[in-house]
Amino acid sequence: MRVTNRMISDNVYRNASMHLEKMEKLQNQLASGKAITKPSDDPTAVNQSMLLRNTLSDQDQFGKNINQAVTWLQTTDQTINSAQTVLTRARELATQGANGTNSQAGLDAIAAEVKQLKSELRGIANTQLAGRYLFNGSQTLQEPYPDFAAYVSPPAARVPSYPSPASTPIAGKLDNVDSLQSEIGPNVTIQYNVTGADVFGATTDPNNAFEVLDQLSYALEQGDTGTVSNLIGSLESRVDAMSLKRAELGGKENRADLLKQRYSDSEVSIQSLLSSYEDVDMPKVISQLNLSQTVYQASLAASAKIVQPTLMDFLK
Amino acid sequence: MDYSLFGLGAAVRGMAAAQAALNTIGNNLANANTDGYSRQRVDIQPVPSVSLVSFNTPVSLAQLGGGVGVQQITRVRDDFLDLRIYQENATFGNNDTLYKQIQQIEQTFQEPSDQGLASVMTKFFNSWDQLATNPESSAARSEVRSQGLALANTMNELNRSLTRMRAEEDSQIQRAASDINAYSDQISSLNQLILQSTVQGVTPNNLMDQRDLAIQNLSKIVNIQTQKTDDGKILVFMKGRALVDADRASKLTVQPNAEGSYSDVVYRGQVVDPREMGGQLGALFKVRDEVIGRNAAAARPTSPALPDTKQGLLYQLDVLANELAQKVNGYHKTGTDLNGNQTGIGFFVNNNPLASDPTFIGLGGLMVDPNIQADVPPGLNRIVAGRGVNGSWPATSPGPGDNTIAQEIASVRGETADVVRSPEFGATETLNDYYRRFLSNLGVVGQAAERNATNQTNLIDHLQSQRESVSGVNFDQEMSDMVRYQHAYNASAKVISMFDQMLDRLINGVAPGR
Repeated sequence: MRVTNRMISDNVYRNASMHLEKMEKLQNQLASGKAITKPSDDPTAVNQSMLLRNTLSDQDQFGKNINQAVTWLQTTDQTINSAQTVLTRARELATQGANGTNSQAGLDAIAAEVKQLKSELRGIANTQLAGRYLFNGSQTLQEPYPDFAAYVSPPAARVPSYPSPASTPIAGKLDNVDSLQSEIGPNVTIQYNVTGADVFGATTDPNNAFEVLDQLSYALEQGDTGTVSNLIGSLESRVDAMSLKRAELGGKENRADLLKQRYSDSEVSIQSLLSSYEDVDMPKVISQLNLSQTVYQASLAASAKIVQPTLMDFLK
Repeated sequence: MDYSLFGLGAAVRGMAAAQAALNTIGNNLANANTDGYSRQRVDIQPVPSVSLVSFNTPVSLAQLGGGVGVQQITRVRDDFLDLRIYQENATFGNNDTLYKQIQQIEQTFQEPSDQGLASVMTKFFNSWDQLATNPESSAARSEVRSQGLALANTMNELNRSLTRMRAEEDSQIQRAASDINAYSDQISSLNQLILQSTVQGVTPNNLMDQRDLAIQNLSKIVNIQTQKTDDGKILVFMKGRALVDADRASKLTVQPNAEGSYSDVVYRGQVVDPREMGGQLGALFKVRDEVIGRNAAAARPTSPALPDTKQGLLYQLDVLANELAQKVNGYHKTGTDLNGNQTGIGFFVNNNPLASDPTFIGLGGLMVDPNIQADVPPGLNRIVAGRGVNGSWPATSPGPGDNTIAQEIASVRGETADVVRSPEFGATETLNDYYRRFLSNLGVVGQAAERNATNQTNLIDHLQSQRESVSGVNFDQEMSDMVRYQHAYNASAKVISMFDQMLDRLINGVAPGR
């Protein structure tokens, strides 16, 4: 084949720019640390990396949701624990009052303490977490037990039905039983609140803790030791119901913690998988770059030799 | 008859021929790097000889050569290679333009990264999750609003930059059309000049080189066919439409197309089908209308039906934007805002309704409801997090802590699309799946374009190298020719000097008066 000088110089340029282009790409990969910067670099890897990024981001959010739910669950647990302490004290007082050896003055003193316990219990039932009431369903900005008077009906009004419980809700207080849910996994939700009705008894429930304490103090004031000893059972069943709730809360907390543990475990493996798609294999790219440089220099050296001389150099 | 001065004429002609050859070599060397130049060669032939007068026979058998004459100066060129280059050049221009344009499109999406649409969508849904954990919090509401604004912005910006690319392609189309006209004009006038020269018996090598170069440049812009006439003209056709015919060039014009803001190319009153163009022009049309464009004329299917595959990126993103907005709005409209009002407003509104389907919220029209954007109350409070009933909150109805709607919106990301509303989605595809498939497709197209462009570049390089092998100037060859003709010139000059001495002897040595 006939070879012309322009062919040679075109070839030199073409090869040199081909090598340069390759080196530019490798250098870019090294500098950015990314093997793929646009979809066409590797459509499959881009697809996978986007899916993994998405999963990571979702899990991150689920983790945040779990943290929030767990905080709520723990606070609720502690709060119920305090309520149990109060009710246990009330039970002790009731046992003491049912004893029959107390004078009326002694019973009155016990009744006064029971009233104090009632007001303490109300404080507990109105516990807030970050400005949100724990025990009022979705009405998180309203006190669940707003007016002390609404919960402690005047004893006089109670007398006709005493000792049977109120059959209708007490005016001013309605139970909000909405559940608060949190998404802790793809299509996995967890209810993180318990309602006041669950813990303290619905307003229509004969074993409503406030109702029981109310009756207890009234019975003590009346010196009705028979009713007082009957109420001990109500108090015990209320405390038991609370324990049941706490067990349930503990179970949920465990479940959420396990899920969170799983997320942080899988995060590591997803990160490394993501890195295998997106990140540059440094030793490989560096050796490729070195190879390219060598080839580039060899091609330039060869070009320098072939481009220079023509017959002109040898004619006098 | 005496021949004493005859040889002198032959020597002079020899010198003249050598000089012509040396001039041509000079021309070749000077043009060694000129684009489109073909090396030239001097055809020399002996001039007619004369008979020597014989004393023995009436007609002499001996013929005395009269020296040499330059017959013609021709260019060395392979027409078949030219034709192949014209052919492949169109494909090369097409692939190369396609590749460069798609590269630009890919850069628009910035994927995979933390700034791309996929990430912005995820952040948007995460902000709803955050609101679900704190439905009463104005900080969480503000986050939802700003992520909503970021999402709308990203989508609007994609719409803007893709539309800007279409406009850029359109202006390139107009430029290409006027380039075609300029080349057609040039080829046509060169045809006339070449004809004028050839009828006078001259071979206009430089004009022919210029014409070949013009045709080659034209063949990159658009797919052309050429035809050589008997009188040496070259006619140029574009799929049967004569751009250059025997006596004139036909101009292409541009006119607004059906969409209004873009152009069609028109040949003699007829709109040219872009698929018949090929070359760079065809690629520009393809990117503008098929790859990016939304086909406004095509009706959107409203029931499950095969989506129109000719719809481009903009339309596919429109579908994504619409599905997202409709899903979010669907939940948002059923709930109650923080003030306990069932406003029935959507989170997104349509800023740019299509005349054909005003409820369709496209890529460019997606916007956070101005009621929510307002900074004065109830602005943020209008974001719906809970269900609830009409009117103010009774104690038993869901309160401000209710996060049902926020949660439903957050889980839109995991929901499969409504294929009745958006038949373009696969049966089990979520928003993210759809977008990923969309980008994969774009990546595959980009990869194919790059591969084709590289292959075609190699092919063109090879063909041009072959042509260069035939028509290019080789310094060594020219140098050895130069030495050859220089010697020939010197030899002829020596002959003259020999005649000089010979005549000197005759005139000065033999002359009378000595």
